[in-house]
Amino acid sequence: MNKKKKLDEREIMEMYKIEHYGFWFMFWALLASIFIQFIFFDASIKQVCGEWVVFMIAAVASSIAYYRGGHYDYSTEPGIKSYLMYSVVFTIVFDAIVAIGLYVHHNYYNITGFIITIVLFAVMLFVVLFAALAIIGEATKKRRRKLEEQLDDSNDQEK
Amino acid sequence: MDLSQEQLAERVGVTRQTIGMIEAGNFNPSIQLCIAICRTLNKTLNDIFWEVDDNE
Repeated sequence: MNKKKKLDEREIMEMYKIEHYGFWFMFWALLASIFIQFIFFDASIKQVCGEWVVFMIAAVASSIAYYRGGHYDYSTEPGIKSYLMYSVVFTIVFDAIVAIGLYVHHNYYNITGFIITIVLFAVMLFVVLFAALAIIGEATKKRRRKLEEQLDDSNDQEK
Repeated sequence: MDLSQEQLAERVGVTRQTIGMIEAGNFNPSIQLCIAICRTLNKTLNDIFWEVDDNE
């Protein structure tokens, strides 16, 4: 059934804007809530698994939709500079959170061991983030080329 | 054509607020909506939407 929209285009744009901010607020708040429970309240995986599933569905669904449309990011283009920047920033932020959580919940008698753990975690996190961003970024570039080719083909057919 | 914002909005199929915001430059309408407004007012896109600079 084709439902006729009761809103005009300005109202629809405003609704999209509200939903956009709502979505991103919920997305990051959900991640923060998972981290806070996991690290500061020593929650088990079972306790945060519901939120984690919702978070992952939102993340994967958005990533697929972005890829299909050939979108990458609001402020950067896919490339080494962007992958490096996001990987470094997120590694520092998440590693700091994990370090605080570990320090609060575990009695570290050996500070060298604690530092090695944190550094190894940071390296692992950086590699995973960089690889994930590089895969997504390069796939997006490929997708953009494909979409442009499709556009060229349809323009040629129209002529 | 002497139309109020409300009458124009009703004929075009948008809210009065939308027409007001277009007039005030606070909302950029799509080309389809621009055309709908022009058709209703029996004017061209240039007549309604082309802004002439003082220097021109």
